[in-house]
Amino acid sequence: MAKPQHVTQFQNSHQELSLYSHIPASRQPPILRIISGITGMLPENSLHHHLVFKPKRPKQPGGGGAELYYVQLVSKVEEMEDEKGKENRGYELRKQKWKMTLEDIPEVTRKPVTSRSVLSSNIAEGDAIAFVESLGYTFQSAYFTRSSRLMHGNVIIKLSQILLPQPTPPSSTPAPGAVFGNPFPTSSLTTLDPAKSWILKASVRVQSNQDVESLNTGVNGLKGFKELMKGMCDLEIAERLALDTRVR
Amino acid sequence: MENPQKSLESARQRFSQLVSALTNFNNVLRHGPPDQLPPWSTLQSQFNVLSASLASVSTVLTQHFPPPQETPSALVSYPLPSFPAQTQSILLSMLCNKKPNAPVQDWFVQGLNDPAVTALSTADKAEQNEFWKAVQDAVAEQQDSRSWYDELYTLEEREGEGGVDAVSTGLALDELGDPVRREEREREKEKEKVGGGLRLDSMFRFMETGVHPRDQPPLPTGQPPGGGMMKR
Repeated sequence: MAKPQHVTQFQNSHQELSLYSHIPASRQPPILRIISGITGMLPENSLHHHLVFKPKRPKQPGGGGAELYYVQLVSKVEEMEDEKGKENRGYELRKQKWKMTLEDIPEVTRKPVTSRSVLSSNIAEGDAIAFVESLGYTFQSAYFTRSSRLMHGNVIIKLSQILLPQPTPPSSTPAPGAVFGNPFPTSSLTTLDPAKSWILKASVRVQSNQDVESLNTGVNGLKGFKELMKGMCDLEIAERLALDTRVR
Repeated sequence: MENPQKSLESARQRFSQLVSALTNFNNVLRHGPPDQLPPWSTLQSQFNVLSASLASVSTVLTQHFPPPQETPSALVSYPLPSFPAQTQSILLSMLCNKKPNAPVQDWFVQGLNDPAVTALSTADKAEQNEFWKAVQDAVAEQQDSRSWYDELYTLEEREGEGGVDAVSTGLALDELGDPVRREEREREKEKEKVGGGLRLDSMFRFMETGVHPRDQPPLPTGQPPGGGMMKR
């Protein structure tokens, strides 16, 4: 498999095995309760800020050369409310703890789960956005995910919803960094899907794609969870091309 | 069914009793001058015999071949999954054919065009309709008195919006008196989906590439263009 460029810039890599299900808005609360019951834990709720970057350099004509991939910066948004319940604190984009991730297109496999390799690197200090731009990427778009996370054995269960920042009015002069979106106030975020549906993702991380034994354990864990959820939701393999992160 | 041989044997006996009763009745009907029925007392006693043998057949069948009570092995009455559909496909299609076969259809047409039917006056027809209405009521009463497997709903139907009350079983009638069809409901559901919601694929693509669903080109189907070049 052709490894993407900039591989050396990533500290961590793992293979992610996953299954997905589309949850209508009305079904989200009962599903969450059921999973909470199965796992015996309360969901860990969080809000994440995602910035999608696209390589500046166009793909070489003729299909030659290395594939180019979208990369993302992801950071967790701390939702702290002060005494007055005011959450509109100064959100400092460039002071967030960002993580840069590159997800490969899911591999062609006969496994009953989606399998892709994921590279990631925590950016400890400095201006993450400037760093990514210096690597030859340009900002594409921003979104937020509100998600509840639970664990069942090795399976990470994430029930999430995609949120969009409030569009900046074109007339006013945009504040610096406004294109990246501000999560506050959180009530201003709108759902991408007008029907406000949720995505249930069950995944298992395996250190290496060469480790067949661990991969099988992971696949079986996911299969077991799928069986457990039967009747409540159908966990399926994702359409491979829908998860394509290559630049076209 | 502990002893299949015994069960089958007793069923066979009851069936042969029924057959002999029917043959007997047939003989009685054909006996005597044509175009004239035997006296009613004879008919009455024949009917009694027939009804008794039918009842005993029914008893034996329920006793020895009880219908599935709690966990039906199939949701259709026939063909059962065990039916050798591979080898008996012609028989199967004959059994499943809802349209009467050609001779029967001819009888229908003949009956409908019979002078005795076509010559009926409107008053007669109204009277007939009234009679059939009464019959319908009697049948409905019988249907209501039986439990039509109240528990036979899928988990999806039970957990769906509105619970089992919202499920269209095909027995319910709409305002016009037509049965509410399940497909109509499904279609309405489908409409709801198209009305606002996004598909999972569109949301994935937005998450991966940041391209808003309204700007996404359709996904290629089948082989991607230039599959050889992009082989990975």
